[in-house]
Amino acid sequence: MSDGSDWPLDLIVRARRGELSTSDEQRLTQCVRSSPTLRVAHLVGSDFDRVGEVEPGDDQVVRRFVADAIRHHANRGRGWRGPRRLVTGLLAVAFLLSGTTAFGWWHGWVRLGFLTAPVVATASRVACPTTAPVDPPLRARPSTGTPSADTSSEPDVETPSIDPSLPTPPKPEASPRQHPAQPRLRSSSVSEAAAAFDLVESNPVTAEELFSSANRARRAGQNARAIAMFQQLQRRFPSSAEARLSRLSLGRVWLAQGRAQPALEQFESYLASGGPLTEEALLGKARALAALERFGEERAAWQTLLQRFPSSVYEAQAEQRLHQLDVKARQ
Amino acid sequence: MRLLKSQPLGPEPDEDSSSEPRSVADPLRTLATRASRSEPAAEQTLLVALGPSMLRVVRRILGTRHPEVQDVCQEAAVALLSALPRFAGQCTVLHFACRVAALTAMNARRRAGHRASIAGLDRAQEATDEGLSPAEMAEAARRRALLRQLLDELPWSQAEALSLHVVLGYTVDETARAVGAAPNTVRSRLRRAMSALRQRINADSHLLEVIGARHE
Repeated sequence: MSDGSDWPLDLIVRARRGELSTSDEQRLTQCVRSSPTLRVAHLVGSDFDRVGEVEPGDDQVVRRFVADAIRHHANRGRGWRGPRRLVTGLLAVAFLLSGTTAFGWWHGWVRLGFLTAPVVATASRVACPTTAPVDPPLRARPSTGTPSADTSSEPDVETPSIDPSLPTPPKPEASPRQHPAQPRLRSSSVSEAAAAFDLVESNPVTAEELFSSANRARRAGQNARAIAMFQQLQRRFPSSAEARLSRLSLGRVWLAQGRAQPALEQFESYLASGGPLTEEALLGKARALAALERFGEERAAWQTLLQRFPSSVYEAQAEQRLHQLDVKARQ
Repeated sequence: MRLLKSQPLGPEPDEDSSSEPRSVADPLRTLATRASRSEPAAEQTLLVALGPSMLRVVRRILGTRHPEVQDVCQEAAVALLSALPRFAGQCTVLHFACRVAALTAMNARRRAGHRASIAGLDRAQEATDEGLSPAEMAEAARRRALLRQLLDELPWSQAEALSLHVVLGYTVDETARAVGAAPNTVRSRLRRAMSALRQRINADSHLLEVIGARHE
């Protein structure tokens, strides 16, 4: 069977993704009914679709392990490449020189200078790389998890086909659940992020231009692009007025995306530096805290807003939310 | 060797080769290429984009509340950065990253060697599925724990195929591209791994009854 999508196990995968047509569903149902192995595969696959989903605070977890990984990777690269190459080069010189000398003695030749010159030159290139870096070898799969592509030694074995004409089927779950092949990070988001990265990295601009472009992207609903630009603005021009303002904008975008923790950090950062939009920053902070279910801090944020801006346009909203928090506290 | 392990990221190869896994269109490819050249901003952006998926993979294999989830994710991210220069584009960058995460997590389980306690943790912490009765949740947790134990004990090639196909939900072709093997080879590995899984379930009378696989 050459087309993988026809293989019963693939039908199960497509069912888990919610991609089956009615006829495919019927076929899968037959296969699952007829084969306990397929029934097990379907059941266990569905079991795994129910776990491992995104949880509150995951963005913080990701941020932490990404930062640690980059630091670790950079340190490892600096710490070991040089000495390893030097040792390799010296060993190569020793080995080749001894081999060449033995060869010369065997032939009764004394032209060692002629023979060793290119060898020494080659070895010195190995020991002292110029510009092209030598990548570290992939670590062995069982010890690291880095994938290897060496699969040539395993013979192909015929896979048994499943007779689709076997008894009646329990209805398969065609749940459109999330799974890693179709990550929660939508492919369009990935495209947007990649495009934004390229655009920002390849077009150096001023803080003002970057801020304007980011706001245009935000208004156009291109959130990933806007986020990349705001982050770039804060990284490139950290002391600019635009970077300070962008904390508020970025906080709003993240809050709208349901990413309350980074949004809260942006709002708090704006409040720490102060500015004309403190009222809005307090509003954002209160909303982010509400999303994080940190109700005590949320109450304090609303109260601060009312104290500092007694005639705020958000007064009614603040009062209403404080009342809700009181009710919740009494319950 | 079917794929050129040492071939760096570069232009995608021709797609007219019938036996070789084909290169796939990938929005993260450019970013991965730049990350493979150790550009810090590209590394950061790529890992942030792939991080949630890698986290999900690690959770599925270790168990949602396993205490080493974050450490294993970090290990997987480092492994991914190390492997990027040799990534030949045989699958999407996302699938490649998920495979690295899966292998790293399986390796962590084997390193730990506390299978019984890990299985207990799986059952205790993951019984939070929505829409299932408590009994169904317990059975699902039991099946997951059983499969994870199997991942600890199967030969690596079979464990890898089983994790990508059953745990992560890749098709056979996607699995084949990710591991750099022929689809028939992957099918063979899956057949053996599924046979082992069935034997495990046959040995568990309660699960056997639930699944209805008694007459296999």
